[in-house]
Amino acid sequence: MTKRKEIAIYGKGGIGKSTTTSNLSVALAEMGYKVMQIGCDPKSDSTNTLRRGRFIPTVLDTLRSGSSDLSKIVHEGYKGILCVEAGGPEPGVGCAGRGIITAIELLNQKGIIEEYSPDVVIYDVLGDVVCGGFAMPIRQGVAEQIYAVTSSDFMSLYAANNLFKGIVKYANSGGALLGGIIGNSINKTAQQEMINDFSRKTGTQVVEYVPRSQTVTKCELDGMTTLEGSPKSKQAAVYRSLAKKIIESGNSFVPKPLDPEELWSWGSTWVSRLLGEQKVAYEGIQDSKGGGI
Amino acid sequence: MSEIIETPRYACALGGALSTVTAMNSFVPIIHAGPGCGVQLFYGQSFVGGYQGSGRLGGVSVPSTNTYEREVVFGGEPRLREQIQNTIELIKGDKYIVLTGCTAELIGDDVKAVVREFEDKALVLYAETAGFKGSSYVGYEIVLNSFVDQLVKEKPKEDKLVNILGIVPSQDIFWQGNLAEIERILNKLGLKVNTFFNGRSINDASSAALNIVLSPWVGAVLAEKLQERFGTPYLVNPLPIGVTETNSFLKRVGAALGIEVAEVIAQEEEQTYKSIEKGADLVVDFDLQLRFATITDSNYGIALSKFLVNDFGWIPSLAVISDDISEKYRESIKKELNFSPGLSPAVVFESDSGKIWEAVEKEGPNFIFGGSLDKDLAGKIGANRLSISYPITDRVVLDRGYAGYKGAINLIEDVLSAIVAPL
Repeated sequence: MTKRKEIAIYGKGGIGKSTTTSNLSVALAEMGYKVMQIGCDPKSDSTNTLRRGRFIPTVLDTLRSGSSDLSKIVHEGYKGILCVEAGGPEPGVGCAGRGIITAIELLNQKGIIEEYSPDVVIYDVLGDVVCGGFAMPIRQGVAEQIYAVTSSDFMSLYAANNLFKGIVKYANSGGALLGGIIGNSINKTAQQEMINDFSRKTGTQVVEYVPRSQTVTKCELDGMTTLEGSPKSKQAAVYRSLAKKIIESGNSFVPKPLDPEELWSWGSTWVSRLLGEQKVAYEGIQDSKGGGI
Repeated sequence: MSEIIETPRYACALGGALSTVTAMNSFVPIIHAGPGCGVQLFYGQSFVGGYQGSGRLGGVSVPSTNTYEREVVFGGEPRLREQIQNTIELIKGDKYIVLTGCTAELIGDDVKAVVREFEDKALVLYAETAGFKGSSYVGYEIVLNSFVDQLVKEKPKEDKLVNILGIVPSQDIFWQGNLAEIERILNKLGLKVNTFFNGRSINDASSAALNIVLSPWVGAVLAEKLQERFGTPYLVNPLPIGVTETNSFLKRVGAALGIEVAEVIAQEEEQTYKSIEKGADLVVDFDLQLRFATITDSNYGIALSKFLVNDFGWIPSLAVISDDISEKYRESIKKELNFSPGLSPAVVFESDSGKIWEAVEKEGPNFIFGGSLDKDLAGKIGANRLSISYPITDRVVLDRGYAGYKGAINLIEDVLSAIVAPL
């Protein structure tokens, strides 16, 4: 039996990490792997596009109801993908961070992962790593590789940089290392260059650039991943390529996060450049210094 | 980052708040905290505080939400609501106060909103007393502050009424005896005294003509607030022990309220010396002038040193101040401990027992005023000792006190008894 691969995918809220994760899961399932996807976000919608938009009972729902029966929390989705949602409190109450710790502990205690014995486990985690709970999948014995999903939006890179800090913190105590960056919603050369530059500066590597695509949005509205809804599309091919790279990759990095001031000044240079490109693209204006690319 | 402290000499903020509310004996405390906080604070506070039991509304009968993992993840408000409701049904009383512990405040339960739901049913107050906010002393201040904010309204002043602040029940193991003596002598001056623990209500705090802070720092901020809100003047006077300090205390109170105190002072002085005189032969014949060290909070450190130096003629060697006080009060505490040249003790601010023992061992005093934790130390350096500060497990303390005139007699009895005990 090959060793089980456990990875975690982090990214700023709304940046497309659940979309990326679900498509990745399908692509891996198409390659013949048995995949379990565990959503670690109190919204509990990580795996929705694997099940035509339907919600499932979460790990923490069992805690809420006082039951210790976890038999109903694994649901098979498209291509036999095992879908699990950690769940969490309503917005504004309780502690979502503790919720993630509790959910992962419960899954381990009850031997759920062992029971289903998937080849690949993917944790889809809300990525601002604001407290210890959100760092749980990084810590020893949970995931072994972390992927950061980011767009060229500065705050998204900022969140990725924070994630890198979390990884560095646990790296010496057997925590997960960074597998790489997944650039999302990348349509322009300058955006790609910005992410490239960020990875160079932080001593990491970019695994794949995923373009922004209407196909993705359309499939999601139908409650499907792109690979299910539009399997022959160019976008689907990108996800398949990403899956292949991740499953074959043994590369792991201890990232070198930038300090906040360095990050801000680096970011402001790039944002000016991106704005310049936008001006040229939309308004046909070339500024006097020859801005744009 | 905070340091790890070896065997500290205080409980947490929740502990101080809980012992304060329990001592009032009129409000039903409801702890909103994890399982264990309440029971540990009972055994770790009252029980090692001279075996003072739980009382009507304390100890293991304190209602607690006992929040488990479910409440931590999803929020503890429903559980708190249920506990308040049940408490109102089960424990007769029309006044309740919710004291929040660490978990409830970490996850940010909206205690204020839950408490407000009960405004038609009973008076339910709340105090944010998470243990991580500090020591028992801090908890005492937080909870009294909550009473002042949520309960105390402007009332007409009574010119003969004073409030006493600064004594933390249980943390000061002799709180009942100390307050009783202070009340006795102030009564002799014709004053009525509200200690909040003597059957008078904190509700009347605004009626006082003067707030007396019997500590170098605990309650001082609250007194300042009461002055701002109700125009009540205050004086800060650490716990007085013995004739010299109690005389000076009464003169200050007299000056603040325009009361003649000379006659009371003369009477008390005479009676006190009459009692003390009986011990004089023992002291002189056995040449019992010893070098002493104190391991106490700042209040007892000042009070004991002043009495022992000025009234009893002992020689101070070291004052360990163990109540983890803010930097801003430290200079003034050192000044209080400054006696004539050659007679001032070294002053060490330290809460860590390991470090405290090292410092005392280096000084090698003949007598140690500390807690039961210091028993081995005294044995090691061959010093006599008296348990006077928290924690105390080798004495049972019900209403004994060391404050004022009568307290000084108790103190002399206990000190000399400790010395003659082996005979």
